[in-house]
Amino acid sequence: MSKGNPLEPLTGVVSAAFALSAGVLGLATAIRLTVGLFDPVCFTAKYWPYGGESRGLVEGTRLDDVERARLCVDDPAPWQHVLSFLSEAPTALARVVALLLLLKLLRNASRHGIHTADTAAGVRRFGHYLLWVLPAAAMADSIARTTLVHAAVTFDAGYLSFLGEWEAPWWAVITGIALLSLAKIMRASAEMREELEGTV
Amino acid sequence: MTIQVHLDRLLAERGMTLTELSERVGVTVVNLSILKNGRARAIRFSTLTALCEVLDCQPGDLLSYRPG
Repeated sequence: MSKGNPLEPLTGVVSAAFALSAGVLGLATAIRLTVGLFDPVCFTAKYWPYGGESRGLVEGTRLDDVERARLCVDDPAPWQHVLSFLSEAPTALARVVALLLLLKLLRNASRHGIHTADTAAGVRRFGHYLLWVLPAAAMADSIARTTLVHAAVTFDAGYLSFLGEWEAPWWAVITGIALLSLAKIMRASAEMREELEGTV
Repeated sequence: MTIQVHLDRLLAERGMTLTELSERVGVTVVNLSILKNGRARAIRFSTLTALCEVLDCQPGDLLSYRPG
């Protein structure tokens, strides 16, 4: 642990988590965009009205897992590959970007000081990111997933079913709001620091 | 800034350098320069007391208020 940097070991942990998750995301994307193009597109229908019966499916779609109502399209069209990718990628990407933003924030804070107006502004920006971007990414995931289900079934799955599929990251919303408050406190402490430094 | 610091005038009148004042008052030359150039945001009573003791002056000789 660095003695001089109060933001350690957090910076080190976030740095390692970012490197690991960026690597995993890059590898998963590469596999998805190469080998994955030859695989069937599978997704879960959260609301499946037929129990274990393989009914209400359009041609070319099969019920792969009865327990989880997992549907598979064996010969998917390009748009189904795109939607399948979009049903997972936005949240994963948004989380990696969140780690990158946090890492940049921590490095800037350790370089320029914790109690500065710039660091307070950085905390505020990160709070807004968590509050708006992560829920929006989860919404994009759910819309893509729901669109896949709509195209795979013959029954009416409901236009607003994407809201039921939406796995809102409440941790990000709560943390985002907390960071906005923390940023206000840090802005006040930055002003106090300037006062103290200007005192002779 | 509407508060004027007359440290340079007092130093000149007493034939004292900033370094000498710094040693006698126990405040760094950097901080005294900040005070002399009007860049200080506040002054401690302890600093003001020490300056007045060494320069043999009143706070009003060191500081003045200029409206506007």
